[in-house]
Amino acid sequence: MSFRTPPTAIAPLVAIAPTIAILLTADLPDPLAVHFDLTGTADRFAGRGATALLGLAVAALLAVVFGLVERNAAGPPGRRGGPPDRTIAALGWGTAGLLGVVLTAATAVNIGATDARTVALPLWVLPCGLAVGVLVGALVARLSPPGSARGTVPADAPAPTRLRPTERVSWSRVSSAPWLRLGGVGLAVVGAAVAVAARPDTGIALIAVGLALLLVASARTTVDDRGLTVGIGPLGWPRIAVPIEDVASAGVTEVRPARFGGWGLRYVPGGRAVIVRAGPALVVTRRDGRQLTITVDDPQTAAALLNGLVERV
Amino acid sequence: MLIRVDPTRGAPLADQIAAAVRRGIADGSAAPGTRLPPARELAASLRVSIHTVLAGYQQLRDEGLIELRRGRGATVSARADPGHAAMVELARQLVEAARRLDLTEDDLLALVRQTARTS
Repeated sequence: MSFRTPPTAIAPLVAIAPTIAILLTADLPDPLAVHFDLTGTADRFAGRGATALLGLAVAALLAVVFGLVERNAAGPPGRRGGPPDRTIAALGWGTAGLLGVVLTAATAVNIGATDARTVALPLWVLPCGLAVGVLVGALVARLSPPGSARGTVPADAPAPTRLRPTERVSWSRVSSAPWLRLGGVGLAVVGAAVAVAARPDTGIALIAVGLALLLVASARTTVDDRGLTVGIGPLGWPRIAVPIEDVASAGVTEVRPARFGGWGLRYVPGGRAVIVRAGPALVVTRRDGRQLTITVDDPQTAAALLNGLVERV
Repeated sequence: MLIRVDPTRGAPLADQIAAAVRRGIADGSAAPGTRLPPARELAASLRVSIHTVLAGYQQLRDEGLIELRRGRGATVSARADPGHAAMVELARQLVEAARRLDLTEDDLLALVRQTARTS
């Protein structure tokens, strides 16, 4: 099916459209209720024009953000305008669906009311909006062309290293993101201070996030007779191994973390990735076609060595 | 950094590991501050005993090329100079070649001295 998702940037504009239409045409109190507390009672009020302008401004801002994210994620660096990324499109349209339902409902409940203070928002609007968001997201993901699947990165395969039959080889390299490590330590320290001084629960949460950052801040990649091993974090765990019998070929590529949805150990359609920074990466294609992408310095040597080992097996 | 050893070659495996690291420092693929793989991991990777790896690392430490610290593993020394590493490696190869020819230490030193004066 030749369906092409429209740019995610227009999703917030579509979501805000019914709200604007109601604001422009319906019979509304002035000021109208624009914000509701958790029980559904109106607690903030604003004029018609201001509400419309604010709504448009938020939608435009979201449109810019979605547009930038999608532009950044599409295609390899240097080549723009690839097919829109499936996950980003689904997330963008799903968010727009949720926003659209909630905003439209919050405006529509004002219709016909003479006093905004009597307006109430039914409690089912939020779960209903969430459901619509999930549905829209799933639909967009289903309809988007699979050609935009992430993880399938074009890779240049270097010529295999020549190896003697009796030779044993080991190549290893640590790749790390110093600012992630710094952020992790910083968060853990702040978390400890907060836990002792003020709120233990918030503090413990901060410490946990800090430790999680430390865990993804580095990875040691090893290529040897056994194949490829990646140990993540200072403990080398979790560990990913691709036995040499499973390796079809190895190549090098340039990686943008946005393409993989961020940093760390990523599960993406078509394989897995260990992303600690942007830049050169080793891409290992398994015999079943799945790919493992690891950001590491000097991936040429590693890829050539793996290709040499594959040839020797 | 790439470490290649071959058990069928004459030189002891520890020497081969040390030579590979020296070449890595000489060609810049192991810059000062680079952490060498932990001895246990490198041993498993090359299918050699951990003592073999440690013997190789100790050679490098004695040459001032790496630092060994308990709990922190082996790192390429801040003073490790690529030129120095290359010289150490050349000297080793020279000594090996002299041994194959049954040259004594004094013969070799005399040869080097003579070469230095005449060229």
